[in-house]
Amino acid sequence: MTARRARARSGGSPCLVLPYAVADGARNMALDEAMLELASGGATLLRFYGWEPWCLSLGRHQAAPDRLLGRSPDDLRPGIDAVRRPTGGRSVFHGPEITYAFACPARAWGGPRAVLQTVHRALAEGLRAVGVPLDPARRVDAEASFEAASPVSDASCFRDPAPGELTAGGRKLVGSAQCRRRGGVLQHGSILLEDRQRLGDLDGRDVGPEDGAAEGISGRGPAIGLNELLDPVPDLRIIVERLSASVAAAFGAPAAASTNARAGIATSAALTRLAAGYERVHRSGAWLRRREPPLPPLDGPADRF
Amino acid sequence: MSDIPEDLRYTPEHEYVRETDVDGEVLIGITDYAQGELGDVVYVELPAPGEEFGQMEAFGTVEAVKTVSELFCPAAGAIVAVNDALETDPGLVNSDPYGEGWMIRLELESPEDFDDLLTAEQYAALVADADEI
Repeated sequence: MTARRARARSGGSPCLVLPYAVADGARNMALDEAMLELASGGATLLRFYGWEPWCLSLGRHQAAPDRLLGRSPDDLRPGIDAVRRPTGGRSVFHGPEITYAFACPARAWGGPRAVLQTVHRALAEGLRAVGVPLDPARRVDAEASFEAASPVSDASCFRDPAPGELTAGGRKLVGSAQCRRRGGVLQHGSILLEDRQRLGDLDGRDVGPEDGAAEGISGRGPAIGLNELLDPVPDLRIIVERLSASVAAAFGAPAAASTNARAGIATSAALTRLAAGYERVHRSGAWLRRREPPLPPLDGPADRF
Repeated sequence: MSDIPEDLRYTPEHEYVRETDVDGEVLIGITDYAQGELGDVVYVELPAPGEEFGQMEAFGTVEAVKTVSELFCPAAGAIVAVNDALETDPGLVNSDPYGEGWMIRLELESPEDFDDLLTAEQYAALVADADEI
């Protein structure tokens, strides 16, 4: 089955795939925000990336706890980075995972809700193509999804699935979040290679597989990584290629991958320049402690690239 | 079918503007259509009274399930009051968007800006267009 292609509408250009890259938290969030800014000017962009060092991200409105700010004897372990996302939801620990970011104009591709569904369908198709036994799409209890989204909670995003998120064996494999700003939509999410989410559970509760009985889900934790679903796990490049192809095709990317790759490299350069202002904000640490949006002064119109 | 009251004005970004009994002061929130598109609202971030905003400048954010959206000021002006009830009960935006779910009370810099906003008929056409997707 092929993921349904979204309909371009009101300025949605075919999806451009940017090269896979690994960066730290501030850099990754700055690049995602730069993607959002380019999207508000009409671009449709997709990238996959990794994190070095491993990093904990907070949701846009989630309070930063003392143990993340060096004010508690129970500090998170040294060497783990922290950043605040522009998107909603709760904390995510970015360790062994493949992260995706997709950005497009808010009025293109059927609108934000359709984008959420189309990206998840395309990711599901890509994951199934490498052999991942995903659960069928299912309805999620509304009360649970409300709790899963609450920025007041210190629990990990991966403790509860929200509607449309991808699960395997009843456990959450992919967690996603969105934001809408200046006419653009950014959606990013994590595809777990291993479940290390207990490292990001800010309330101190251990939700790893070893205490899963307390969670009441198949004797395991609420999250699952590809390492528990595939033996062996395919090479990272193969998984990323499959996922890129599936999502890009769902958003009108041309079949000629080389053309898309060349354009992606050119846009990456523009993105890098644009990300510099956002990166300063994220790297300052103030954005982690505060709730104001990280909007650096713009050098010019958003569509100058 | 979304509720679009005839006596309000609207923006293309789905904010509504309601005149008050004080000349030049309006109540602003998001429309029934917008709250329906967002889903369950879990957090509303609003400015402090006294802050000033330009037309279509972001004055806050609203978070629904996994989605954060900017809120835009329909006209230039200064914040007179914010709806503190949303801090403890953000679901009012869903249950009563045009009543208890209002967000800010704004003193318009130019009261005639109200007349430049979309009428209910114009906003209904915009929503109908969006629903054709």
